[in-house]
Amino acid sequence: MSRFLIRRAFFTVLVLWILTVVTFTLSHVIPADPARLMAGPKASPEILDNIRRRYGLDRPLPQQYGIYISRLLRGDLGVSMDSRRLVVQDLKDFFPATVELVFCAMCLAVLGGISIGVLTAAYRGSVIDHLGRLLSVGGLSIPAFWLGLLLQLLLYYRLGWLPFGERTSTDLTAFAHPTGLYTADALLAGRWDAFIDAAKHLIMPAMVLSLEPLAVIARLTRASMLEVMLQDYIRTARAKGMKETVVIVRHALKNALLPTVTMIGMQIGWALGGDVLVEVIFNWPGVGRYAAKSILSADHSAVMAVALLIGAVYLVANVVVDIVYAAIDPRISL
Amino acid sequence: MAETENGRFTRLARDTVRYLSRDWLNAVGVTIVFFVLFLAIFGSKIAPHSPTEIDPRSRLQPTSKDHWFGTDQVGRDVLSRVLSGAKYSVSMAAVILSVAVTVGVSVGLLAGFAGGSADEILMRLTDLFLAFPALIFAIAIAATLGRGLTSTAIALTTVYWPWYARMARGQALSLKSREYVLAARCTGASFLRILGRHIWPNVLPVLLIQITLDVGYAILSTAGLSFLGLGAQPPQPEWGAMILDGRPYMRDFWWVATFPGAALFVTVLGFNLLGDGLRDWLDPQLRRAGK
Amino acid sequence: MRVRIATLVTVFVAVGLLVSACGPAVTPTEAPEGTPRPQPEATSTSPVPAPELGRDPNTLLISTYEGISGIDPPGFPSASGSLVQRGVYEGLLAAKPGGGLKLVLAESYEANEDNTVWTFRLRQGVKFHDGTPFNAKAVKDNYIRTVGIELSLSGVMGRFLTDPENQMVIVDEYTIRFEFDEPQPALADALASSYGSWIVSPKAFNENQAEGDWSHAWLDTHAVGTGPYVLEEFRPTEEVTLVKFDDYWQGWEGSHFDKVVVKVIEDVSQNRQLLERGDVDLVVRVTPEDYEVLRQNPSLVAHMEYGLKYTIVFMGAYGPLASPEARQAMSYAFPYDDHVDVIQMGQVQRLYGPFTASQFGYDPDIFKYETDLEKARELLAEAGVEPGTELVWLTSGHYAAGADLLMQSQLEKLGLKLTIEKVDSETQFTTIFSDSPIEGRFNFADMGWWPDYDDPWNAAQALYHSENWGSKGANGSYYANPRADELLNEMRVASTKEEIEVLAQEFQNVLTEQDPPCLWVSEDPDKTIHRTDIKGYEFVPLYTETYPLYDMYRE
Repeated sequence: MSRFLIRRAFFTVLVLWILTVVTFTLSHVIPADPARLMAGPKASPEILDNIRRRYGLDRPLPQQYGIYISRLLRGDLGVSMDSRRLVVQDLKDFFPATVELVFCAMCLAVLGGISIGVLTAAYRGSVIDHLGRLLSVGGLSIPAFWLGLLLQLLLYYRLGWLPFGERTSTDLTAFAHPTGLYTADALLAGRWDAFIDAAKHLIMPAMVLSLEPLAVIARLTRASMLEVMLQDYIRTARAKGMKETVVIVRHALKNALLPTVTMIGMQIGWALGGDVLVEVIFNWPGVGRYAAKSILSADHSAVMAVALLIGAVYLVANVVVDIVYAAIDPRISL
Repeated sequence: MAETENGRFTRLARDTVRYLSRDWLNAVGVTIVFFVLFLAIFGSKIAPHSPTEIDPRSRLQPTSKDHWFGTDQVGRDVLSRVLSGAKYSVSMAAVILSVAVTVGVSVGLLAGFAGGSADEILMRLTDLFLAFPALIFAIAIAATLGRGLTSTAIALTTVYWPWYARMARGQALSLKSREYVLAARCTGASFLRILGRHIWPNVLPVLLIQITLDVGYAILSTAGLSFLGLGAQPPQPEWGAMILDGRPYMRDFWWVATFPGAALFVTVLGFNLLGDGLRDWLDPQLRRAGK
Repeated sequence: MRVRIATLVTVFVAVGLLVSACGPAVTPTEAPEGTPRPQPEATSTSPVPAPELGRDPNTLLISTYEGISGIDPPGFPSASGSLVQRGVYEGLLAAKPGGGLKLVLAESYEANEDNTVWTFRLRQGVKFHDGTPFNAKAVKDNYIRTVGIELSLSGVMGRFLTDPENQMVIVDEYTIRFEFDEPQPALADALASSYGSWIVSPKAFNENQAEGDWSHAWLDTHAVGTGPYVLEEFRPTEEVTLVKFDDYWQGWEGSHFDKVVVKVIEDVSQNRQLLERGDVDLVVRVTPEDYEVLRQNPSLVAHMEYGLKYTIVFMGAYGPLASPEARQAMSYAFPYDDHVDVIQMGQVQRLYGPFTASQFGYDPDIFKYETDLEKARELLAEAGVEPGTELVWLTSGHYAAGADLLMQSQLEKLGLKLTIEKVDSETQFTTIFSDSPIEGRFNFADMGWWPDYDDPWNAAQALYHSENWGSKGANGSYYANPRADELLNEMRVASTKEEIEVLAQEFQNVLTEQDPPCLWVSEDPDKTIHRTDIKGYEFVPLYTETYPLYDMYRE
C-alpha cells in the first residue's frame, strides 16, 4: 500500500511540475501586453517600464519561470491582474464555491445514476428501462450550457421559483463562513433561512452539472449489473430462493459497482470541465468561472494557479478513488 | 460454398434492416445522422435566407411565416443560420477525430505490441495528457493560439488522442497473445500483415463505436468553446457561437439561443443513438444477453 | 407498445415545458408567479412608490457591471473602482452638476492674473479615516506621491507639477500655494478630476509599503481618505461594502445612508429582474432592450444623461486608409442612423468630432458627416482604393456593439471586403495601444473614451498627437497631422480659457472635415436606473457612472 502511495505521489508531483512548465509557456505566449493592461490607456512609456520592472516582465522567460517556481514553493501564487489581489486570496474565496457545487452535483449523479442503472437493469425491456435509457442518452447529448439557459428561462424568468445564479440573494444579511460552503455554514450558524437560500441557489447549477456524470454512471451501472446478473453465483442465489431485491442489492450491486467506482474518478475530471460552463452560465463564483475569465483576459498568475489547483485536485481524486477501489475489491492488492 | 457478390449484398441489406428494426431508436439515430450529414453538405443551399446578411430593422423578430425560427439581434434569419451551421459541427468533428484516431491508435498499437520500455514511456505520456481535465486544457490551448475554429480543432485533437491510444493499447495487449496471432508470428508473417489481417478487424468494431460516441463529444466541445468565445468567430453561424449571441436576449427573445441549442441536442443525440445501437449490435456478449 | 407510450409521455412533457417557457413575455408590471410582493397600481403618471422593501432601508444597494479594481488614486481604476473612490476620497475641488466647480476640501482659492500662482485656503477640522488631520502638508505629501509614484494617472497632476517639491509651497498649516513658470488655466479643473486627484492620508501610504511600492499594493485594496464612507469589506470581484465615517467633516445630520453595498453583477441582463423585484436600489447599466421596458415602469426612475463619454472607431492612418480621402470616404460610408436608431435603439446620440457637446471647447457648427454612399464611392476612387480591397475591424463587442456588422454590410456595397476580428476586451485594449507594425494591424478598432477633466487638450492629446502613437499614449490610429499637432501644442501652453476655445474650434475642423482619424460614432449617456424612493442623485458629466453617495437618501 505504501509503495503504491509513494509511486502515485511521485507521479503526481511529476505531472504537476510538467503542468507548471506547460501553463507557464502557454500563458506567456499570449500576445497581450500585461503591463499595458494594468496601466490603462493613459499611461506613459515610463510608467509602463515601471510596471514591467515591478512585476519582472522584462526579464528573459526562463528567469521569469525560475522566479515563479521559487515563489510557488513559498506559497506565493502572484497577484491577479483582474482583481489586483493575491491569487491565493482569490482562490480561497472561489475554491469552496466550486467544491460545494461539484460535490452536490456528484452526489446527485451518483445517487441518481446508480438508482437508474439498477432499475433499468432489473426491469430490463420495460417502460422503466426505456425511460431510463432515454434519460441517459439525453443527458449525454444535451449541451449543458443550453440546458442551463432554458432552465433559467423557465424557472427564473417565467416561474420565478429559483434564482438566476450566484450563491446568495442580494438582501440576505451576512453570516460567518467558516467552511466556505454556504449550506454547511448556514447550518452551523443556525440560520435556516440562509440554508434554504443557499440550497435554492444550488439546485439548478448542480442539476445541470450532474446530468452528464449521471448518464454515464447510469449506463455503466446498468451494463455491469446486466453482466453480473448473468453470473453463476446469482443464479445460485436465485435458485436458493432468495428474494429478488436481496439478490440485486446484496450480491449483484456490490460487484457491479466496481467499474462504476473507477468511473467516478474520471467523472470528477469531466465534471470539472463541464463545471466551467455551468459556472459561467449561473455566474457561480467558483474556480471554473475564475479560470474562464482569467484565461480570456490573459491573467497569467491566475491561469497558472488555477491550472495547478485543478490538476492537483484531479490527481488526488483519482488516487483516492484507486484506494477506495482497492478497499472494495478484495482481489486487488495495492 | 463461396458467397456470390449478390449474396454478400443481400446479406448486408438484410443485416441493416435487422439492425434498424431491433430497436426503433436505432432507426431514429440513423435518420438523424443522415439528416445532419445532408445539412452539412446542402444546408446553406436550402436555407431560405442568407445566414450572414444583416437587416437591423428586422432585428429580434419572433417566429413567423417568413422567419420560422425568428431573427437574431442584427436581423439575420435564425433558421438559415441553423441550417448553415451544421457544416461547422460536422467538419470539426471529422477533422478532430480523424487526426486523434490516427495518432492515438498508432501510438497505442505500437505501445501495446512493442511492450517493454517503449510501452512504459508512451503510456506515461498518454497518462499525462489524461491527467488533466479536458475542457480546461482545451480552453488554454485555444486561448494561446488565438480564437477561431482552427485553434479549437488543434486543442480538441490534443485532448482526444490519448483516449484512443489507451484503447488501442488495450486491444493490442489482449490480442497479442491470442493463438492465431502467435501462430501467424510463428509462420513468419510480417508485422504489417498481422496488423492488417488479425489485429485490425478486431480493433475496428470497438473503434467504430468509440468514434460514433465521440462525435457527439467533439461537437459539444466545439460548441462549448465557441460559447466561451474561443471557437467560431462572427459571422460564422456555428451553433455554440449562436447560443452565445442569444444569451443576453433569452428573456424576451428566447428563439435566438434556443433553436441552435436544439439543433446541437438533436445532432448529438442522433450520433449517440447510432453509437449505442452499433455497440449493442457488435458486442457479442450483450447480444447473447438479449440486450 | 410500452416504448411508444413512454416516449410519447416524455415528448408531451417536454413540449409542455417548452411551450410554457416560450409563452408571451411577462410584462413589466406583472409580478412573476409566486412573488408575494404587492404591486403598485398605475393610476397616475407621477412616479409610484417602489415595491415594499424587504431589507434594511438604511443601506443603498448598487449593481455594477464591472469588478472594482485599482482604487489607489494614481493607479488605473475600473469604472466601478471610480464609483467606490468617490465615496471614500475627496479632492480640493469638485465638479458641479450643470457645470462649474464647487469647493470641497478647499475653503477658497484664487489664481493670479496670468494663472501662474494658485493659492488654496484649506478647510479646517477635517480628519482622515485614520484620525490624522487634513492640512497643507498632507496635500503636498499626497501630490508628491501622486506624481512621483509614476503610475497611470500620475500624468493628470504631473502635467502641472514637474517639480512637486518646489512648486507646492506650504504657506501655513491650512494654506498651500502652487507656483508655476507658465500659465496653467486648467489647474482647477484638474484638481476636480476623479482621476488622480483624490487625497490620500500620508500616514496610510507611508506605513504600508511593500518592496518600495509606496503602498500601492495596499492602497489598491484599502482606502484611507477624508470621504464620507469607509471600506468595510472589499471583495473586488463580488461586492464591496462601505459604512459611514462617523467623523466626516460635513456631519451626519439629515438623511443619509449608513451603508452602501456595491455588488458586481457582470451580466447586465439580470439587472432588470433585480430592479423589478426590488432586490437592488440602483443599477449602473442595463441592456438597451431592458432600458426601453424599465423606463416605462412607474416605480423606477430611468436616467439618460449625456456627458463626456463617447464611442469612436479608430481608423488606421496607414495601408489602404493612409490618405485623408480614404478615411473621409469611410466617414461617409458608415450607416449612422441604423446604428443610433436601430441597434442602439435611440439610446445614444450622434458624435460629430473629438469632443462631445458637453465638453468645454465644443464647436456647435462643427462639420457633420452623414451617410452618403455615392460620396464615399467618389472619395474612394480619388484615394485610389480599389474594389476588392480587404480591411479588418478589431472588436471586443463591448463598444459600438453591432457597428462592425453594419459597416461590413455597407462596405460590401462599395465592393470592399471587411473581416471582423473578435477578441476579448483586454486583448483589444492592448492591441490598439501597442506598437504593432502596420503590416497586419487593424484598419478599424472600436473604443470608448472620456477625458480626465473638462479640458480639450486633456481630452485630445493622448489620442491624436503624433508623439503618442501606440504604447506612448493612446493614438491608436497612428495619426499624424502637423496642423493638429501644432494646435495641441498651443492648447497646452495657452494662458487663458478663451485662447483654448479658439484653438479647439480649428482643431475640430481638422479632425472632421479635413483629416478624420476616427469614425465619430456616438455619445454614450449614463443610463442609471433606480427606485423612485432613492433621492439625491444628480448627474455630473465628469463623474460618469459614479454617484454622490453622501447626498443620496431614501425617502
